[in-house]
Amino acid sequence: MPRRPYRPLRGIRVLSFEIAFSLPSGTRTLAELGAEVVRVAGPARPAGTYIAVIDGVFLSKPCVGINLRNEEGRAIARDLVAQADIVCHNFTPNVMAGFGLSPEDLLAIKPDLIVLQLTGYGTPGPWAAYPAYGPSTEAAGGLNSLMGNESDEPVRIGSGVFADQLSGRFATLAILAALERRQRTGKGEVIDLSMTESITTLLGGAIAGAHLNGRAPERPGNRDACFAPQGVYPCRGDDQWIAISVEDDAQWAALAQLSGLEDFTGPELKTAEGRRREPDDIDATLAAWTTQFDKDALTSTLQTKGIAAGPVRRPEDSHFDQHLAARGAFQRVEHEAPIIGYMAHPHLANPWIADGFERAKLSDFRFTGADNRRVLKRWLGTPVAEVRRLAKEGALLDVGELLVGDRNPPPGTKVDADAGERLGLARDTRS
Amino acid sequence: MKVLEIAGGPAAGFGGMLLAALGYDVVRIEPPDGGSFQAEPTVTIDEATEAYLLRGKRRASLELRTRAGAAAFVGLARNADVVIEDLGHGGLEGVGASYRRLRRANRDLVVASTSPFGLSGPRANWQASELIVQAMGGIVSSTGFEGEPGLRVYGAAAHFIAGLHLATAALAGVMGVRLGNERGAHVEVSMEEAWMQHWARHIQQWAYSGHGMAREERGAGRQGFPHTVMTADGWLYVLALNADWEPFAVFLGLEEFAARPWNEARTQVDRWHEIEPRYRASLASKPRYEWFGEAAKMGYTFAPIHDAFAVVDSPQAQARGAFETLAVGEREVPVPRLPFASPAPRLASVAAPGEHTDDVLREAGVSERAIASLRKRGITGRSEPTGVRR
Repeated sequence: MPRRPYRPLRGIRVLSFEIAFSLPSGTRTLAELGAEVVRVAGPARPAGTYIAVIDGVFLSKPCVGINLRNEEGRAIARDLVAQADIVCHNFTPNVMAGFGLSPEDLLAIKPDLIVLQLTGYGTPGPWAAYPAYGPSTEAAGGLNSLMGNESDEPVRIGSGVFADQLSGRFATLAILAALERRQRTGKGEVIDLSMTESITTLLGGAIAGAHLNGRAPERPGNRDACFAPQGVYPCRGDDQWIAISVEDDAQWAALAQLSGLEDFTGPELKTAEGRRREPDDIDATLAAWTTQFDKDALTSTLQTKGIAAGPVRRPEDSHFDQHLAARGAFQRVEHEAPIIGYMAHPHLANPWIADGFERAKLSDFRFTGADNRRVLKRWLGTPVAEVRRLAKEGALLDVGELLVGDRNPPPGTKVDADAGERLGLARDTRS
Repeated sequence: MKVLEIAGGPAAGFGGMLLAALGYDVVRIEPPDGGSFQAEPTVTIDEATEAYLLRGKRRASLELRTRAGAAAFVGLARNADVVIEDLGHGGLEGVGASYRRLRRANRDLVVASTSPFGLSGPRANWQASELIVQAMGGIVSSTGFEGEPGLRVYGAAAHFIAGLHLATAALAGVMGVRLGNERGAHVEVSMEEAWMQHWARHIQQWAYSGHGMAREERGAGRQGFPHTVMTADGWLYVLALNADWEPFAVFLGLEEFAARPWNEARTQVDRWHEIEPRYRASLASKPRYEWFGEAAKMGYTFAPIHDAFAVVDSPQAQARGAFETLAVGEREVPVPRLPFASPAPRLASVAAPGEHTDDVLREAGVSERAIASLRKRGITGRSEPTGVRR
């Protein structure tokens, strides 16, 4: 393996006025590609810190704390803008405009600047100022109506950050395209990105199909129009499941032989068309068979026979997966101070591998103002004494280190108290 | 920026469509006899989705699985900036276009590949489908209802997201070359890992705190009330994270359930059957956009649950011009534009299979005589519509 990460965006400066969680996921990708991304934070919200840390979207970004209600604070922000290639935010538009940092204000500071704003519903429009979390935009973007089984009400995605991550990735794409255009034209531009529309891009075929057929698609659950059977089936243990997709008749024959189930030997089931006629019966028979097995062992057996199968991974499972370990999918991010008793925790890296390069090394979450001195010196040449004065007079914010407390899970949640030990994490040895 | 998309599945298809929507010249290379170069489909694509993915691209027919076809492709790559593909483990080699060979032809070429589990590691050549990727990448285990099988996200979402990564990797790579930071590179994206990003919080939370997200309980759900409710004219998503129960209950018209003990989450869950009739009746008393607007004024993040028609007709989508019209057969239907304004032209049409074969070869410097020879040998030619499954 070569000894350096792939850094195509080295030398690009990004100033991001960002809050959880959409835009930060996109700017983290830019940072992992070598851009210098500086997060601008306002007053810290301790209640949000635990989630901000575990979510991981703020990794690899130094943080300056700026009080935008202070005139000197706003002047610092404008000076930093003048040094940036890209300025982005994910507040509702009136927030930034209120601080004199509307897109027009920003382009007046630096005409070849790329400005990106990311909101739940996008601007302009009657809902431009409506507040939204990711799950709201998944519903408005059309996804929930297609989720679940035919007999169910619409179902939401069990993530909470699905749309955040998706729109963040679209932010990365939009910024890169704007950089490419700027390279050709020398011109800056303003990009307005909608989380809701990010979701809708995933549904282009369903929307076109509905208008072609004159009816909305049915909720298919886990079934597929061609692969049969396809579903999620129980395995041995508490809440353990396997996903199986029989993609062709050869895979079906292999499954029928492997399972030895007499119900699967009928000639009417030899074709996918025949199997699609009796999906409930097949699913029930298959579920009764899979329930005897461990999900990982059964997956291996099925894969050996060429049948598409995989364990339904619970949050803990991926940490112990040899394939992901071999690819370096997780990195141990070291903390300056212990968090919930440990000096490092695993985080997912960007899911790209550039052939001949190593993955970019992730650096830890930075608290509000932790990098005031470093960033202001590097970007503006501001002396340390001046940074100290600006902090003292309230223009810069520096909250110091916040204690990140553990969060109580919802009632009835099973807690694996030995997670740290099982992962072999380094304990806090200071106490 | 010139992009070659090797016809495979919907991941490369989506990535290529995004790049075309950004205004780049995307040429999809398809086999002359239709279908794709992918040995096994990993997700089913219908006619409408295929049209959505093909829009804005030029289409060239070239049989890469012949010596002459592969050589012609390498010639195209010599003049291109990017190749994107999703043929899977060993797929590029299988069509005679290994990265090593492409790199020899064009040192600054960016090749972006995606496959279900990545091109390296013990599971690199495992069988997969959209469902398998989603299940192994997470989210399925926390979507749906407790005690029932977890549910996948609709459609080809994992493939499309991998395609979004391909488009991003392509642009990042090209910028790296233009800025003088890097030469060409082969970037590979694991669909599984890309999907895991959308659930990363819960994977990481287990490492920090020993627990992650679980599926909903049917009934009152995780927040003390169901999120999905029917209003006077359609489904509404009710979300008010961290809201104080009392004013929220009053807003919902549940005054009698606002005070103690009803403001305790456990009581709401345990005695949900007492609240539910009033909750549903109250929500059903007004249209969903009315609830949505009033909730927004209170800072609550409700949202209409749009179906495939309402999402197009919504006032916000209309105001932003979020959709454009695409010709599919004899009909014109709406499809989403990029989720941000792009100076690129709209992508109103789908090219015919092989329509641009000769143009593309000519642009790469292939002589008329050589083009004629390739056609005569069946290495190029107009193909039938690609493997559409209905």
